[in-house]
Amino acid sequence: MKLRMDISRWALGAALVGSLVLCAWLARPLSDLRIQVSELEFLDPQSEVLAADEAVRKTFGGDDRLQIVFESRRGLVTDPAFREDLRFFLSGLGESPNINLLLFDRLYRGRFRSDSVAGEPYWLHTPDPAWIQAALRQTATTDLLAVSRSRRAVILETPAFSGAGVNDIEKQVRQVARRLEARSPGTYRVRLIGKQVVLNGLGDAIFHDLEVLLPWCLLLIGLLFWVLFRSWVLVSLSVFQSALTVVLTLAVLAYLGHSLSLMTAMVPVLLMVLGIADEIHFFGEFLRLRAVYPERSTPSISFEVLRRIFFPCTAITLTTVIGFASFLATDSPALRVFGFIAGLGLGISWLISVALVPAVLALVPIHARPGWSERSWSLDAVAPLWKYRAVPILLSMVLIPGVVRLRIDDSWTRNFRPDHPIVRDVRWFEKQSVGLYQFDLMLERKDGRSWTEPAFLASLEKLESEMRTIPDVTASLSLVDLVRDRAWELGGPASERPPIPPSQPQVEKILSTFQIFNEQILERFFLHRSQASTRLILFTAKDDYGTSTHVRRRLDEAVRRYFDPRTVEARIGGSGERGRVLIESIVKSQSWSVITSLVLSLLVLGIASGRWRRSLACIFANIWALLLTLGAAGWMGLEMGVATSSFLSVGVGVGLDYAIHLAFHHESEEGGEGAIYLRVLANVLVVGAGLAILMLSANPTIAKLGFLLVASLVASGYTSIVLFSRLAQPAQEEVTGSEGGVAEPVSG
Amino acid sequence: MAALFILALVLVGWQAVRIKPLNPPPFSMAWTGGEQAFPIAAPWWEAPIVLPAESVARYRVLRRHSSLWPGVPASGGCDAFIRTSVSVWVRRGLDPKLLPGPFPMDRETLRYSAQDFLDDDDGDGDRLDAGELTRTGSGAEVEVFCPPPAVWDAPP
Repeated sequence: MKLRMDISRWALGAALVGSLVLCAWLARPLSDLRIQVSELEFLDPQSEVLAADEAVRKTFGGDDRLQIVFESRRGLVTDPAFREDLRFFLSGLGESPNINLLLFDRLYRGRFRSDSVAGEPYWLHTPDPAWIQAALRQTATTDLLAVSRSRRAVILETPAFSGAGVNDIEKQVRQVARRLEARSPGTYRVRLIGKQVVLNGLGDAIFHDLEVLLPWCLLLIGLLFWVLFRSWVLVSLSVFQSALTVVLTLAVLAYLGHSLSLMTAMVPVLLMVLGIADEIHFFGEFLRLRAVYPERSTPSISFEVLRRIFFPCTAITLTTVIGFASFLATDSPALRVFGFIAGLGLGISWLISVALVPAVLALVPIHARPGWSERSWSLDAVAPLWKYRAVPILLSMVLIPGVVRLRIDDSWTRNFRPDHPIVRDVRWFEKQSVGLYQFDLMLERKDGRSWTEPAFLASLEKLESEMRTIPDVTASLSLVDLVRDRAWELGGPASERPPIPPSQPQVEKILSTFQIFNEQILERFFLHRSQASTRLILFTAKDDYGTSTHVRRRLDEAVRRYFDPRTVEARIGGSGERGRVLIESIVKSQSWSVITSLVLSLLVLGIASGRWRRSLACIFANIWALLLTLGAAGWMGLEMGVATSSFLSVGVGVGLDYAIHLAFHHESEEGGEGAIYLRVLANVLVVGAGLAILMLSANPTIAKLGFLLVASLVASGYTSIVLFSRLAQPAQEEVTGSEGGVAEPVSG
Repeated sequence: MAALFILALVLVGWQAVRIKPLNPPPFSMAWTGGEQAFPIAAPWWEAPIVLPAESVARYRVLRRHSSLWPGVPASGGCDAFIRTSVSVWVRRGLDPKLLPGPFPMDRETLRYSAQDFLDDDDGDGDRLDAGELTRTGSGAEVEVFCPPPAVWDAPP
């Protein structure tokens, strides 16, 4: 017997080493894993807004730009010293191959004379301060687009060709800013602002988060398992399983060519924590049976544990997989990737649990004998509070009405702490200029005729004027502005901005100067080559859901008022619109995935167990818990956004675990009816504490998600225990009656 | 239960390989063939181009850094280069009648005011009208070669 055990242990050791080598080989794609944050991953590829964006991009060019802000702490933009230092700064920027074009820089473009010429427009000579002041007052394309409200900063815009290109530009800007600081100490401040900067910053924050959270997570798991089981073998096993699950899952992600995104960045922590939930039951049941049946061999007890735990553990993993997989039913690529990778990760974790854990329990000597495993537990001893029926009723009456206070809202900058430099720069830009986000209204004449016809330009001007009255719209630009601004520039600086010329040839003559002065690229931003399509850009200071929704509604109304849909086709895109659609569709997708996972979980539990009443009770406990959590979130003023709303589906998948254990496991308990409740409480403690690690995230949204997840788990544990402690007696009768699945007593 | 579990994993795996990785479209300009794309208008990071004093060399540098004025023939007795930025000129043909008086030598630097870029006094479709090129005053610098050197051999 001893020889057989020794051989088995050697075989296990060899298998472990072999598995490690295999895992290392399988994990090779991990080196290719990148971090990428993009708004597009959240949008349905077939969505209307992406189709509009594609049309805008093809017709007028992309809308991703970077703003390089050159701000003086002392003087105004018209000071000669400022202009000389700006020239120095610009020449440094030119060393980057990624900066070869500046847009909307109407005043400070390097011209062929360094000295200003009085009364001359910017495209002939460097303009003099008086001309600049007049241009800032009179024209749309220079005002907030070129100079800050304080008149102390120049805003230079350059296309953001790619994330990597933006990183290069960022490095170059910082480098030149250091040179400038050496030249004029303490005089200037340089900011780099742009949506891509925000998204790149978010990618960095995700990486930093993983560096911090994963070690903490492993440490916490080890600590909690030590407190619960007092065995280094079990602690090592749980930590090893967590780490292996994460490594293999991320390798699958990399192998399939996906990046780590805002959503999938949560997967490692989720898997680490959720993956070891099974082990609590494995280890707990193993130690208890070993205490109850000391005469049995450990392989026999280990096999018995597997036999007893297999159904509930497989069921809870399956319902959690369903919870994640329900994201596959949505249109958002980010949610779909999140769903499948978290689901596959849990599958990997389950495989390790049912293959490795029983083998280790059977063959590795475990000497721990925690006190709780040696005694019998009554339900009242474990959870005396459940006796008071008024508590859950009162709790529900207080919390659930908070659901009506829930709001949908989100924005990219909410993923940073308020004092983060990126947020400070974005806020500065909102106050001093036009804001980062824009709506693109693309108008196409169905008769194919030109937008240079004065009547159409007049309607466009009315629409633009109306939109400018909305406080959320910080600025607007259209073909009308190009024509009127250029007419003013060609006239004297003392004149007012002229109205739209009365005839089409006059309009076209003005526009032709953009070609003469090599600025056709600017014209193309607003007028297609065919002249049948034009674009109105509306800038908004904020990208939150409320602002974007309001602007979109007003824009729809204005377009209907000024253009007949039979003659002009309107399409709306742009980063503001994408953000609005993104938040709306994600929250709707989450609701849909919650319903899907609840229904699927009910079907799976009912079909697999044949006990529909208990299955329904599990679902009821889960819905009850989610309502309590949503109500609490409503009272606390937590908005439902892209990441935060995902707690719903995760909450369904994970929260169901407790109800399933209580519904399908307690009849095989040797340690008294309270023992399974004790293990569920331990499960809530370990998983809740593990997920609470997310609350340490530097990303406030992820921290909020961590809070909501922990709250929903605690609520699920509570509602499950309350519900099943009430149902315990009838359930016991049901079990001993007609339904199968009763565990056989362990014989010695 | 195990069968359902395996089935679920297979379904998830099947979906996993069907989801294509995201490749965000790069920034693009709506800029295609047939449009004047060279030289790019701005910015010019280098020091201003210094024009040689010698006529032929000066003409060569200007040809190398110029694009065509839209809608006007490139030849017309004289060649004019109108400076529109630190590194860029637009080239056009010029009728000697548009010059301000007798032309003293083979080349001269003139001025063309901003306001005159728009008007078309004689209604001939060409916005450069008689009397608008001046030897004094403000406006764009115009390099005029009359007649243009015949030794042009640089690539267009």
